[in-house]
Amino acid sequence: MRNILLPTDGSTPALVATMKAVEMAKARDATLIILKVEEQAPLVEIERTAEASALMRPEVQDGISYAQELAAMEKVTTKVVRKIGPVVGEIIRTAEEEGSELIVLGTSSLRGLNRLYLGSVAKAVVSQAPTSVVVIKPTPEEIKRALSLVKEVIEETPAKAVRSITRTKVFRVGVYLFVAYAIGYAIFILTGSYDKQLFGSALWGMNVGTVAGILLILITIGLAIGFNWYAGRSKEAT
Amino acid sequence: MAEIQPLSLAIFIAITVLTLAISIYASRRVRTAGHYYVAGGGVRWFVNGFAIAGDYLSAASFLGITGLVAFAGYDGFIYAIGFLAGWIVALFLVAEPLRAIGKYTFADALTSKFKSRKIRLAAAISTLVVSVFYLIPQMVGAGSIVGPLLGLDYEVGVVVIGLLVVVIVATAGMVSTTWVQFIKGFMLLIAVIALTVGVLIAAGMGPFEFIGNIIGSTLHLPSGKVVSGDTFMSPGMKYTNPLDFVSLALALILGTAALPHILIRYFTVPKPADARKSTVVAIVVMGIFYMLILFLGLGAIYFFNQGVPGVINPTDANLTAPLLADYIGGDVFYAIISSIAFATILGTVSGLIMASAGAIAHDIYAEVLGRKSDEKRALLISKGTAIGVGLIAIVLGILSKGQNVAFLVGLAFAIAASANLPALLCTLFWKRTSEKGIVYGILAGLISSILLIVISPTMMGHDAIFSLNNPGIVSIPLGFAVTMGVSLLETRSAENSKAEKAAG
Repeated sequence: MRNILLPTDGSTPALVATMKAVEMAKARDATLIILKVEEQAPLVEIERTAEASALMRPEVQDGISYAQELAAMEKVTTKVVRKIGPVVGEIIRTAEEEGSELIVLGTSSLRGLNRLYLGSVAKAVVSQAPTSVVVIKPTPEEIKRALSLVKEVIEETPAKAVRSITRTKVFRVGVYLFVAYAIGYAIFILTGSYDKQLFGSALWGMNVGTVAGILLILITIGLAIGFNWYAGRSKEAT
Repeated sequence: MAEIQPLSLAIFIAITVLTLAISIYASRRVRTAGHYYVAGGGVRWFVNGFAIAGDYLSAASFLGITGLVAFAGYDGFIYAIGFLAGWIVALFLVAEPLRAIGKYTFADALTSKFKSRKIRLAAAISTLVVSVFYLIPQMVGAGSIVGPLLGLDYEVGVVVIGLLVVVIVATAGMVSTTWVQFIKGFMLLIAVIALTVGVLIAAGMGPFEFIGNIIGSTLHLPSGKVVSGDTFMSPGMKYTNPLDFVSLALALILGTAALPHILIRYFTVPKPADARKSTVVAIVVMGIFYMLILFLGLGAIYFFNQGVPGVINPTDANLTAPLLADYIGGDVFYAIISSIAFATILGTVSGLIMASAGAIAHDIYAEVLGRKSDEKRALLISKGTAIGVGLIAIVLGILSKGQNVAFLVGLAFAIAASANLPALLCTLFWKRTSEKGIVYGILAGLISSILLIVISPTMMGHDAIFSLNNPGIVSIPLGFAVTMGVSLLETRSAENSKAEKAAG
């Protein structure tokens, strides 16, 4: 299977690289492997902020969903890989594991210390990679286009986020359970209102109304715990 | 009991100081509006679950339902069942999708689909109305409990609570509110368990035997009436008209998932799955609570019939729980239960004021009027608003002296279910919903439910034009009908004009 590896961290250069990588994957009919590497050493909050601003990162953008959306628009197949470890090492290893024919990544035109720290990733990948590497150095126009695409993708997220929840099987099961519960509640209320005789008749030393009320509370608790267990289990399965 | 009791006062002060200390500690971490409104979205689901329970088990649940069960038997118990049932709607339909689209307020969620100022304004207004209707019973509860506890007059009690809440909310917003609610939810659960065990031990019976005993005996009610226990524990003590009963039940199950101060709790957790998990925690806590509240109410009427003096105050049903605690565990228990009830009110009122402040400062000022300002200024405006709403709550609390708090809350539920729920469910699940549909739906639900309350027996007594106490059965379907009807009309006319253009 032919594939192109796209390491992304959601930074602006990576977003431009994503655009190019999707184009290339489409032209070659290749799968796009979207790789996100989480640095092993957790960043201190202030470092994270500094890095985010240095990379011109649009807020709350992990790069993966952007790449997926873009690829979906162009009907390119994707695969998401998440790794934890040193960035360069994980990129090389993933390229080997997946047998990628090409690695596409972006590089920033940062200056000074930031360049020393961040610009080194592309350089190191080029020198160590088992395959060809395309390093994208974004032009201002490309940056503009990438960011406007982000907006398109992000703007729609509320509706999409709801859809991604309501289309799951877990949610459908929840709706069925709700309907069943609502019917039970309605029967309980209507019987209580219009057939008081029945609710007054004896049952287990109490009367039907009291027993039904207590049972309804117990069913509510049981239903909540059961559903949560089911939802948690099926999340793990996917 | 109009004199100050040193022990009660000490426990009361301890709880208040603890609450304020948490607020001030938490306030040091509040720097942005996001932090203020929704605690930065970083609350753990377990904490949030207890906080939801804390928010929800307000004066109405603890003081109001205990009183209603003691005075009206089964018809009081139906409140407990309905309050809990509402959470099934929240769990299965609302929690996760809402967390996925919302940010600070209920209006944020509604405007995620259409960037509409009109929707935001309508949602903000309905948030305010529901919050105020919910605030009144809390303040009434505050006044009636602080009076006997501290030897203060009702009015002074309302003012004291109001000012304390304003301080809490103005210092730290949602962070402190969350922690206050968490601790309170915990204490309330333990207190109710202890009180139930105490009732059963004092009565010398097992739980089922106890209920069976009540049903089998003849009861003297606080009103002076004598009924059989069987009648007491069957529907019809309070709601003689079956339709009234159905209307209340409908408002209770559909109102919960539309209460603005509950909805904002979902924005405080990091992920949609956390919203679900905290709902489950809340349901378990509240399920236990509502089950036991039955024993508290029945305990009060049981001991009342045993000839125990002072276990029920015939003129104020809201005092049933504290009075029962006094009989079961003496002064100490009385003071603890009253202080917890007090903390309950404190927490719930803070939550409501947060929701109202969000509606005014975030929705109306910043978004509708377009006064986008820097974080610092936004924070200042929110806090100023919180103080303003707090003062209004004090005035309304004083004006509403003597009403049963659970009953008043039932009305707030009806308004929320009529105005907010149709808009929320349609935004989440119905593709054809239009901007106009949401706006008209909110207004129709809001206006019809309030109008029906005004012409109901609650406000007009025997001359009432509308015969039901709770407007839910008319106003909730109306809210849905208007939201969907207007949406359909609009999309149809849009299609027609498209077709005309195509034809022309």
